[in-house]
Formats: sequence, structure tokens, C-alpha cells
Amino acid sequence: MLETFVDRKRLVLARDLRVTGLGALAPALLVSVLAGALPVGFVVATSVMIGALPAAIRDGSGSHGAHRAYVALALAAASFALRQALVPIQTLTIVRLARRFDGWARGRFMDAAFAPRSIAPLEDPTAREAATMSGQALQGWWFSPGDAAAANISVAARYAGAIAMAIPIGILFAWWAAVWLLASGLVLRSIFRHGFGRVVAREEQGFRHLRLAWYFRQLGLGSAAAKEIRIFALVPWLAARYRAAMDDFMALQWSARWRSFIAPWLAGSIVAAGVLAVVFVSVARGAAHGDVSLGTLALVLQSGFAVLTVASWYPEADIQTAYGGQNYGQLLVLEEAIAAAGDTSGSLDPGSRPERELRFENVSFSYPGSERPVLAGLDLTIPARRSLAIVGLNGAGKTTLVKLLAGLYEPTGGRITCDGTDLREFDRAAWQRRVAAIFQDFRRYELPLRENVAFGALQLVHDDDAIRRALERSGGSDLLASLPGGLETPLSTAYAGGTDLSGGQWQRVAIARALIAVDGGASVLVLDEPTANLDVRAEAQFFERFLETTRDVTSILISHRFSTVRRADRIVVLEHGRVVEDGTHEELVRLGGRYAEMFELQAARFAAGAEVEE
Amino acid sequence: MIDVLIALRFVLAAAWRQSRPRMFAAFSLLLVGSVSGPLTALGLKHITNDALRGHSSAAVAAAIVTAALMVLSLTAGGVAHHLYFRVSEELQVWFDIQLAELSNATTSLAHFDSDGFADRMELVRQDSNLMWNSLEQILGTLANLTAIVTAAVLLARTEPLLLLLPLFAIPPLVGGRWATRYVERIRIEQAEAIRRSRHLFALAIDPEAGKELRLFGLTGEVRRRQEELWEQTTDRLVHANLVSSVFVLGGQLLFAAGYLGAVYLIVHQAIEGHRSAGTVVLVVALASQVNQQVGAVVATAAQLQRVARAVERLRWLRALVAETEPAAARASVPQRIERGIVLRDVAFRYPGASEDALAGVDLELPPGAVVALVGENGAGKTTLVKLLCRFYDPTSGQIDIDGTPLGDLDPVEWRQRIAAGFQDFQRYELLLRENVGVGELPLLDDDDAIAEALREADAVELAESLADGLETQLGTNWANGVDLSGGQWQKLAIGRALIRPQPLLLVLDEPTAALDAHAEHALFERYAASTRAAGAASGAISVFTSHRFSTVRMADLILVLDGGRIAERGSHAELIALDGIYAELFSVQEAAYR
Repeated sequence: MLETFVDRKRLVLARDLRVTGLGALAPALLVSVLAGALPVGFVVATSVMIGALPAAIRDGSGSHGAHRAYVALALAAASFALRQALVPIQTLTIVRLARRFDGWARGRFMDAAFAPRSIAPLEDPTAREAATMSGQALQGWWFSPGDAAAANISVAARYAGAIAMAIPIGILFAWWAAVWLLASGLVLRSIFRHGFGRVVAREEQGFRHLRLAWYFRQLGLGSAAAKEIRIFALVPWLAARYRAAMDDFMALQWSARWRSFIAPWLAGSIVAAGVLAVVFVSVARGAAHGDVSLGTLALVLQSGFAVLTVASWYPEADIQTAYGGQNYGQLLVLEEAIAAAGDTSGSLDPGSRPERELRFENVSFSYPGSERPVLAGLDLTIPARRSLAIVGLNGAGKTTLVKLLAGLYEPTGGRITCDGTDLREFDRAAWQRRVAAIFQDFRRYELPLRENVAFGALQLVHDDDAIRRALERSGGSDLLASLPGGLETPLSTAYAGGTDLSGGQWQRVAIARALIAVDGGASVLVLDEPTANLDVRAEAQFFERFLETTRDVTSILISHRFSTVRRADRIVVLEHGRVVEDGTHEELVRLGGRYAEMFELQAARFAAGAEVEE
Repeated sequence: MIDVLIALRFVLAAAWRQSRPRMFAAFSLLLVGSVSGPLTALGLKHITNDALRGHSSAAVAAAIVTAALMVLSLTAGGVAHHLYFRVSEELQVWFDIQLAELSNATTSLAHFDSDGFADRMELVRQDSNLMWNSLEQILGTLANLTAIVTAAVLLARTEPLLLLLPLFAIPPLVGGRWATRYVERIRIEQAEAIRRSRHLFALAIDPEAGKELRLFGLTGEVRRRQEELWEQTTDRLVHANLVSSVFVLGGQLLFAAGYLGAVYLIVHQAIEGHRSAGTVVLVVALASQVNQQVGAVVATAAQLQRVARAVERLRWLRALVAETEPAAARASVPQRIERGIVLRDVAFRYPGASEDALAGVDLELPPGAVVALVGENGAGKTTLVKLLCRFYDPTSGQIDIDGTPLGDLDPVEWRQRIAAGFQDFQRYELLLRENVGVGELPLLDDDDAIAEALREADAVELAESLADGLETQLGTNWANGVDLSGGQWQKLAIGRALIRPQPLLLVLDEPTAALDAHAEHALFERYAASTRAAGAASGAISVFTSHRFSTVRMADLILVLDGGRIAERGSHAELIALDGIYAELFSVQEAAYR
């Protein structure tokens, strides 16, 4: 029974409440416990008043008895009013406590997620699920750890109230009655909590269903898929899948509820009714025989049930502690999973490297949890301060190569060196700062244009010239000129004065971010399909500028457009996880291999045009 | 107040439809629970009076009945709670499905693009989370009101003057309402900060963002900004709660004064000899009960207000759908296209925009034609595609399908004959099979049809490389989900577009942006073959947009859009001969391949 009262998660939660600071915790606890216990004052005072009534009635108003009754009433009124006054203050302290705790938990979550410098630990299935659950709760979509932490205070107030109610019964009537009432109340409560805990645990098992249900719900309610939903007439299908997933979830939950919850609770209630009846019968008999005073009778009648209500459903706390606690548990799981995955970093300062070259030596890689090798025995040398283009079919491993170079993953075989030093020997964070990369799925920050560019080099966030220059080089000057708030325009319509950008405009902003990173000290520039959303003219212009701006930088370009690729100093073709061709455009065309074939495929369409015209 | 009543009726009626037996049982239990509470006070009165008179056996009987009533009031609510919990979940599913149907029902997507609509839809979506416990709030409030009325009847039987007591419940209700309004106002004032801190926090879970944040050394900055915003909001919200607690406090104290006055009145009458001690016990016991119940009603009143607003918004959406839903179809969609699609002086302007996205478009698309749309970003290509799919109706002008105005066709029936792939295609984090199969639901379990669509989209190798083949779970949302590259996702979107048999209109909006040269080439070879076959079979017209001129040239008809107008039209050879925009853009790209 003890463990149902104090399971591990709740203990940890209670312990961690410290972090909210004494200034938040002490008032919350004090006010709550006081508000929980004050009804005793009301009950005792009114009982004294009722006890004084026979004498007052006998002697009339103005008598000693009447005086006593009025004084008792005044005391009852005072405790009643004080409690009324405490309730809103209690709410206030609880809100404050919950926010404080969540603020701390959010920081802890971000620390956990950001701790590994590689991103492989985040992709561990356990970590991923735990992050989704606790992350959603901490964003306010579900009961949060803070809700649970603060609700523990409310629970304490409830227990304090019940104990306080039992004590006068023990003193004035009989200790056996006080103990029996309190014990049966607590047993009933523990049955209730135990059952609810099992329901919640069962839900955890069924969470798979619930997440699937949420996914379908979000598809159906969101606007992202609006066009496809209409063309393919998907609503009935989405609705059916959503309902089916929810039904699976609810079926699990309902059986758990009935078996481990309602049935035992009903049985417990009958026992509690019996205990209460015995106490009431005994006190009523005593009063009828004159062994128990009227005041004591009134006290037991009023407080007997109040002790038992410790077993009731606490709308202010029960859901919160259950689900908020669960989500807190998921935060702990996330931390454990990330710590277990391990993250290594050397200590060497990369300085201004690479000075000579980057080299992949027999590098193999497969993603965590997958057997399929993405890279297999890859050998590649990238000379410093030159431009390299990587081409290959979809899924050939081009982006993966860059992720390894940036230290976001570790090779599963072989090694990558920079001027002869294994990347693993570098301080990983410092090495990552050397690499400026814009991936296909670059981020669109809900922040002003200024930050969206300067996030490439934070130290330049107030350097308007640097930001303008970066935009100019990425072809974003027109964009800047068109924004009403200039650099301070938030790039999302969800903010006052904000605008949304088109895909092509976002791409220019992202490129500017990478370019400013180079100004800020990075020396390896990676652009992954940088012009996929640009139109013909913009693309051509971009590449004309690109060569100028990157003259002194080691640049790596990934693209399917051979018109852009051919300008690179060197081109490699990736296939089946290794380099199959390597050379300049002219060399590769002459070689007549994969590159020549792919280039011809695209070029032929233009050449064919020329023939038609001839 | 009226809005709350409407919402009440709405939610209860919906819940009743979900599960009558459960609702009936839950309702009965709640009723028993809420009536038995005040009745226990009556029991206490009898125990006291019988005991004082020395009637031991009567007192014992009253004690047993009272104890039973008390536990009943505790238990009934608890059991009822679980019954309507279940109904609540069903209610939520029902509400969500309603919402999905409504938000996807309207013919025109136009309202999706207006700011006001997006904001309101976002609110409606958030409301759907509210539905989950709206039933609990409503039933709880009804139970509390029943208990309060029962208590009022018992009190009035004792002293008619006490009927005035419910009036004292008004100040806390009003105070509570002011308090909620104030907090809500601050919440709205803080909406941007809340949203932004949520956005920054979400970056921590997002593996894509994880890459950038590490490379640019942003993790500390993002964490710091997030915390700053959170603390700012916390300070404002705590302050708002402090201010609002003054309103609540005032209301509660007035209520307390009223109730204590009542107790004083009865005690005074007792001392004067007009009342028994048992009556005083009754009034005192009821006093603390009613106090709790009024407190609970005040607390849920704010929630009920929100539910009322949610229901109001749902009704708004219903009305909007009813209003924009087109008149019944006056003509049926043809089996095949004989004469083609004709656009006459078509113009379109997005709601709230100050300029036309398309203007003066006159076009004839012959049956079986392969049409390419070319132009710079923002020239109106995608808008034209959307008009053909009838996501919008033209602001002026007319589109005819084989001589029948598009507006006269049933939009659902018309869309059933469209096969489409969009630039902003959806990545369904479902099975590989489903990613293709949702393009034509009846073929979802047809392995051959799916294999054929994958072949047309050049995705056979992709499917073969995955361990579970068609049954592979895709997407990083799931523990066992496989993530695909951008190009691989795009291939699946194309497969989805090509699975529909016998379309009349085939639309591909930037279909190859993320594809490699091989896939692009293969796609267009097959695309050309199959669209020409479809064109021959049913007169199907295919329309695609692309920035790659190498693929554009294969079209029978190329339309160059510029600033919302059709600037040039013709075959590749004709447009080159014209030496206009097309010829210039073509030569820009061509130059790179020389």
C-alpha cells in the first residue's frame, strides 16, 4: 500500500520541487495547507456554538450561554472568511509554482536535447518517443510536469485537511473513531489512486494507438494537406482511421478502468459507509444517553464525513499528477536514453583548419537502427579553398557525407581527417563551428529577418552591414527592400507586422545565413540543393555570384542541376555509397561514364532543341 | 448567458447521440449524488434532534441512513465520472471529425488564404482540445446547480427569507468572470511571446533544426531566448492572476457575508427559542456544502464560457460552409473530353489581396494536350492550376469543360477525375503502400496497381531497398519509421498522383524539383507516354509547371506567364522563333549545358 502512495516518480517530483525556490514553494505550501486545514476551525467553532445553544435557549438572549454562542459564531465566521480569502491566493501560488517548475523543466529538456554534439542519440527510438511525449506536454498541449508538481501541493492540502478534521474527533469523542475514519478514507483513496495509476499505465501501453490517432487528427484538421485531401477525397478515410485508432485506445482503457478501478472502489465505498455508520450510531447513542455532549455530537457529525472525503476525486490534482507525472517520467527517460547513447568529443582546437585538405578514408556508415549501408568504403580527398560538387542519384548518400563531415554523425567504419588529424580528436563543438551548411530542410525561424540571417554568425547580429552584404550575395537584396519593417520584419504572419516568404525567398535567406557564417569564421561551406526553389534567372545569377564570394573557402555543393555543377573546380559522382568518378567537368565528360550519361540526359533536351531549329 | 445555454444544449445533445446508456447512467448517478449531498444535512438535523430528545433508536436509524447517503454522494459522482469520461472521448472524436469534414468541405480554398480565416481556424483547432472535458464541466455544473437548488429548497422550508441566499452567489460569479476576462486579456497580449517561446522550444525536438543549431553554435542562444520569453510571460501571467484574485476575493467575501448572515439569523432565532439545535446543524452543514458548490460553479463558469465560444465557432464554420457550398450540380462530368477546356477572360484575386494573381486569361486546351506552364516565381502558374482543380472559383470570367461551365459541375465529382501532385506535397508518415494508395483509395490494397504507380514514378528501387517493402512504416514520428530523402518523398507523391485510373485532368506542379537527373528523365519519358495514352483514351489533358526547360519543351503547348497574364503561347519551336521571354529563359539554361 505504501508504494501506491509514494511511487518513485512522485518522490522525484516532490524532491525536484526545490528548484522552484523557497520564495515560490513556501507560500504555496503554507497557503495551501492553511486553506486545507481552516475548515476545521469552522467546524469546531460551529460545534461549540451548537453546544452552547441549549443553555442559551434556556437562559435567553443576553445570558452567558448566548454570549458564548455568538462569540463562537464570530470565530466560525472569521475562519470561514479567511478561507474564502485564501482560495484565490492559493490559485495564484499554484500557478506561479507550476510555471516556475515548467520553466526549469523546459530548460532541462533543452539541455538534454542539445547536450550531444552529434544528433545520433536523438534518433534513438526510445529517446524519440520520450522527447515527443514530454516535449508536447512542456509546450502546453498536455498536462505538464509543472502541473503535476503544483498539484502535489494541492494533494498535501487535502491530506492536511483530513488529518486536521480527524484530530478533534479523537480529542473530544474517541480516538478509535478518528483512526478508523482516517484509515478507511486513506485506504479508499489508495485503492482509487492505485486503480487510476493502472489506468494511466495502461494508457501508456496504448499510447501507440493514441499517437496514431493524433496523427490522423492533425492531418484532417490541418491546412497543410488541404489540397490533396480534396483531390483524393480523403476525409472519410482519415476519419475512419482516426476513429479506429481511438477505438483501440479506448477499448484498452475502458477494460482497465472497470477491472482495476470502479469495481474495487465500489467495494471500498461500502466498507467506508459501514465505518461511518458505526461512528455515527455510536455518537448518536452516546448523545441520546447523555454520555456525549451536544457540541461533540455536532462536531462528529460535521467532520466525520469531511475526513472521508479525503478519498474523493480531486479535480484540481488527480489528472494533473497522473499525466503530468507521466510526462515528467518521460523527461527522465529522455535524459537517460541520451546519456546512455554517449557522445564523445576530443579536446583539440581545430584553429583555422582545414589548411590543406579534408580526407575520407574508407568511410562506411549506416543510420542507427538500419542495416543498410549508406556509405561503403568511401575514399575522397577535398582540397582546402577549392570548390567541390557532389552529384548522384536520389538516396546515393550525398547529404549523409556532409553530415559526417560536420560531425553530426560518426562514421561506423574508417575515418575522416582534416589536415591529417582525425576529426574525433577535435573538440566537436569547435569543429562544427568551422562548417557552415544549409541543408535542403533548412529552418525557417519565427524571428525577424535580422536573426534569420545572423543566426549563421551570432556575433554579427547587430552588424547591419554584414547582414546586408550576406543578403546581397544570396540575391536577397530585393527581398530586404520589399519588407516594410526592413531587417526587423518578423518572417511569419503570426506576429505583428510579420510577412510570410515564398519558397524561393526563404531559400535566399537561408543561403545568406550560410554566407554570413563564413564571414563569422567558418571555412567549410556546404550548400545542399541551394537553388531547388529558384527560377531560371535567379539560379543563374546566384551561381555567378557564388564563385566570387567563395573564392577563399572550401565549398561543397550538392545539386541535381548539371548546369550549376559544372562550374565547380572538381566534381565527384557518388553511387552505392562510394565515389565512382572524380574530376573536372571536362574530364568527366571525356571519361564517358555516369557523369557524362547524366549530363547528357539533361543537355540532350536542349541540344535536341538546337537540332529542331537548325 | 444565452451562448452558454446554446453550447450546453449542443454538447449534451451530441453526447446523448454518442452513447445513450452511458449518458443515462452517468446522469442518474450524478443526480443521485447531487441530491443526496444536501439530504445528509437533513439527516444530521434528525440525528441531533432525536439524540437531544433521548430517542436512541430513532437517532441510530437516522445515523445509518445519513452515513449511507454521505458515502453515496461521494461514490455516485466518482462512478459517473468514469462513465462520462468515456463519452467525452467519443465526443472528442465526433467533434474532430465534424471539424475535419467542415474544414475540408467547402469547395473554395479561398478562405484558407485569408488571414482572418487562418486565425479563426487555428482557434477552432485548439478548441477541439477543449471538447474533451467540456462534458465534465457541463455535467459537473449541472450537478452542482442541482445540489444548490436542493439546498435552497431545504433552507426555504426552514425560513423563507433564506430563499434570498442564491442572490449572494451573483457577486462571486461576476467577480470570477471579470477575473477570467482580465487573465484572458493578458494571455492575448502575451500571445506572440508564448508562440515564439513555443517555437524556440520546439527547435530542440526537431532533428532537422538540430543540425543547423549545432553547426551555427546556436543551441545556447535558442535556449536563452526561450527562457527569457518564458519568464517574461510567467511574470505577466502571475501578475494577472494577482490582479484577478482581487476580483475573486471580493466576490467570495460578499458571498461569505451573505451566508454567515443567514447562519446568524437562524442562531438568533434559536436563542430566541424559535428553532431547534438540529435546525442550526442543518443550516451550518448546508452552508459549507453550498459554499463549496458555488466555488466549483464559479471555477467552471470560465471554462463553460470557452466551451460556448468553441461551439459558436463551430456553428460559424457550419454557416460558412453552407453559404459557400455551391448550388447542386447542373451538369454531370463528361466521361471523356471531346472538345477541351476553355478559359474565357479569367481573372482571380486572392481574398484580401490588392492585386490580381491572374488577369485576362483566354485559353484553349485541346483534348489530349500536354500543357506546360512556365514563368518566374509568383507569375501565377500555381494559381492557374488551382483554378482548374476548382479550389477557387474565378473572380471573373469562366472556365468551360467540354462546353459546360466548371461552376455547373459537382466539384467532388470533378475532382474525382483529376490526378494531381503538388509542389507542397504531403509526406504521409504512414506505410509506403498508403503513401501511394491514398491517391486512389479503392486501390489501397491492390498490390499490382501500387507497383505500377511506383514504376511510373521511378520508385521501384526505393520500394525494393526497404526491408518491409510496401508495408514499411515511413516517417520519423514513429520509433520504427524510416526517413526518406526529399527526392524519395517526391517520387512517392508522384506515384500518388499517377495511380488514379482514367483521369480527365492530370496536374503536376513542379514535379521534379528534388529529383536526380535519372529520375527526372525517366519520369518525363513515362509521363509523356502515359499522358499521351490517357489523352488518346479519354481526351485527358495534362498540365505541369516546371523551371526546367529541358522538360518543358516536350509539351504540345507551352504557356509563359508573366505578372498574372499569359505573355506567350505556342510550341517550343514557335516560342523560340518568337524570340521573347521564353527564348531568353531557355537560352539562359541552355548556355549552362553547352
